[in-house]
Amino acid sequence: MYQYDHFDHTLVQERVAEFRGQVERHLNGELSAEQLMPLRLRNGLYMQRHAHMLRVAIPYGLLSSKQMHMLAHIARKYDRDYGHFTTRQNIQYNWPELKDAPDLLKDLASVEMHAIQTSGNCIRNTTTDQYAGVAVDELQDPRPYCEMIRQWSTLHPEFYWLPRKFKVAVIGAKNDRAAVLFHDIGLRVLKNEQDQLGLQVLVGGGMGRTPVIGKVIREFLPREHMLSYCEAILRIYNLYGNRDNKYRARIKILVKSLGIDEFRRQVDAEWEQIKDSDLLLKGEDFERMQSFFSGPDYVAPSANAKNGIDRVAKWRALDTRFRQWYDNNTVEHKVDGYRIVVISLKEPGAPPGDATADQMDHIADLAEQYSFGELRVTHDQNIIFADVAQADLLELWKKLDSQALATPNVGTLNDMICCPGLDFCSLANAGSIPIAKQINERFDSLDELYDIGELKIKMSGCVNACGHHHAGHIGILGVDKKGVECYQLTLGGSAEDDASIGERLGKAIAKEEVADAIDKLVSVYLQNRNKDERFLDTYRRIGIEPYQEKVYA
Amino acid sequence: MPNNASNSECLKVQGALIVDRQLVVENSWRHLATEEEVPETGSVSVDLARWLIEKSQLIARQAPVAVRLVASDDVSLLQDDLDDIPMVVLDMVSYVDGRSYTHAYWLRERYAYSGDIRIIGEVYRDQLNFLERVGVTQFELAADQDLQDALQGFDEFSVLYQPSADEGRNIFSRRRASD
Ligand code: HEM
Ligand code: SF4
Repeated sequence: MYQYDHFDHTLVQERVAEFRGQVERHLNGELSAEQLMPLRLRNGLYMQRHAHMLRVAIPYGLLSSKQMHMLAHIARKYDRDYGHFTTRQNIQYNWPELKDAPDLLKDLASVEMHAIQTSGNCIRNTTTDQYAGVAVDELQDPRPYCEMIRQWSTLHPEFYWLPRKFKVAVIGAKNDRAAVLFHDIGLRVLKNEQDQLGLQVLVGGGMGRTPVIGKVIREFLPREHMLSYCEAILRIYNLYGNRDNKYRARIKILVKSLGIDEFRRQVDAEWEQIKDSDLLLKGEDFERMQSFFSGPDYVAPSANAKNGIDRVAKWRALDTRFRQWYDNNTVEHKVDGYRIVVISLKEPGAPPGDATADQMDHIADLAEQYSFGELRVTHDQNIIFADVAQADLLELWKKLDSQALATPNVGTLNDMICCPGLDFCSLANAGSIPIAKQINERFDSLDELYDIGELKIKMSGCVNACGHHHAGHIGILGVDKKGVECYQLTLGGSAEDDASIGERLGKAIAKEEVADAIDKLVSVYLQNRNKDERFLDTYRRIGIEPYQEKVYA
Repeated sequence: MPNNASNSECLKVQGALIVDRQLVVENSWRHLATEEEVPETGSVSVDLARWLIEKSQLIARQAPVAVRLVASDDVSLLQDDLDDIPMVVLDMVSYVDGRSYTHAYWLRERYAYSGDIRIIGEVYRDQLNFLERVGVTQFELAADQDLQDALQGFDEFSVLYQPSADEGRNIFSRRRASD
């Protein structure tokens, strides 16, 4: 994985020192709470319902075991022994004190981590495919691109006070696991007919209260121009994005109001001026960056390991629980003899995405032992060991199982995405964690979950859509009806290549009725599905009426 | 483009400012409000609308005239006049509005402007560093700022990841060069 050099180390340390100074000036009364606000936001520190919340960047989701131990340490020292992994490859702590924040950030810096630009109207943490580098459908590893964008966008002096937040995602595989169509800028790494490496550039996607699918601004951009082109987009956005109404301030609204062609014309005109500037990258810059991500030294299974593989196969046949876990929570790896393991943070009853400090330490140790000391966090709020030898799976499973980390529900209806909602978030209209719990309780049979198959439920506690409800096969949106928590359901959203925005089912339903309604939606699906059809495909084929009839009957 | 905000009232002239990272106590520039008459002597700044209309008289004036832009102004309207403008004043009506940063950047990099760029309005210590990077050379700090302390705001970072209108370079070309 990427290793900081002296430039990177110096920068994060200087950043901590700067923030320490700002907090001190605030505590001395020289900087008002109001003046401190945008400064603390740009260091990841929010003010929430009960306390401050600190959001730490996990660039493109990648962590070393050492870093994960540090996250556990931070949960113990500054928080209440847990943290929340978010859909944006961040971790959030819900209870740190402002006065401790500089020390917390210093601890992070010691393991090459930071919270820079994790909130505020600036360029945020770049996200990507959780299977980067190991996926069977990968064309190019997106992580070098992400790291280069991270560096270019960090403390960019011109783009620190944008009209609104700005999110970039990169994908390098056939299947889009990074939701590039729902980002301010989405990049797809690809090759053109001349075998040149470049990027398809998408712009103006987003969730929030006005969900929009991104549009292609450039079909093929030679990768040397990645930074200059992003800079041109940001400059046009910085100048012309709406600043009067924060609900119309995202780049998606600018692209919509100018039209993609006019927006492209303006961006290209700017880009012409800067494309051959110092921002121009060279092939060697990518190669050097790629060398950080070359992957571990995989070993071909030895005779000994072959026995292990046989044992895994045997146990799969014999032990239902192991088989369930293997089938649901492990994924094909590009290298023979290895598998990708997904650790579910969706243990029924626990808030989706939460992990305790002990679990984090445990996961870090297991990653050290079984996955070359690296792990990843995913936008489904789970954790991944990318490089597990096939022969080790049984042993690893037993160890995960002993810590309630082997719940075999990845990809099922219970693998929900869920924002913090009313329990923590000051913008929330309704709870989302309790709804997740209600649904978990309703769907407690694994056989039933497996029969239902892939069904993505995504839930947000208000229109800001942090839980991606627009992109859920079933979306759940918390609304406030005269002080009562209610839930609006949507059907048919997707964040993948077939991206679509969910359609409203009908009027919002009462809190107690959510799991019932999900049950009904599922029953319509089960009655109507053709053989191997997913929930989403059945819905697309038969339309929304049968579902409406069932739920509102 | 509309020319709004603080032009209607006379902007306060402050006694102290930072020029090229030095504290300067004598501030000789007056920022004239929209309706205010141009005095015969003394350095003044005028808003963009007035400049566009009265350009020729203003250029002929014996004492220096700067042009003042708010965030919503179109900086490109100045590009052919820059040789006649000794200083561009960027009025930061609200410090969370980042457009003035791009104005400064364009003045320097696109229009190769070499005169002074002065920032006024909501100018705080914690923005000085970035303002300097995009090309601002003079800073009239908002009231109640500790000027001496503010000077330290320039030195907080020794590493720059990206080029702007300063000596910053693309970190990747820097690494390439240091091989
Ligand atoms: C608890 C504190 C949080 C606050 C105050 C907050 C606030 C917001 C707001 C205001 C928006 C709407 C932005 C817009 O449309 O202009 C938003 C969007 C979003 N947030 Fe959060 N959020 C929080 C937590 C989270 C968490 C925990 C996650 C991940 C699980 C998350 C991920 C996202 C995503 C994915 C979007 C929508 C994508 C987009 O930007 O279009 N946020 N957030
Ligand atoms: S969707 Fe709304 S309730 Fe949920 S975290 Fe985002 S802002 Fe808070």
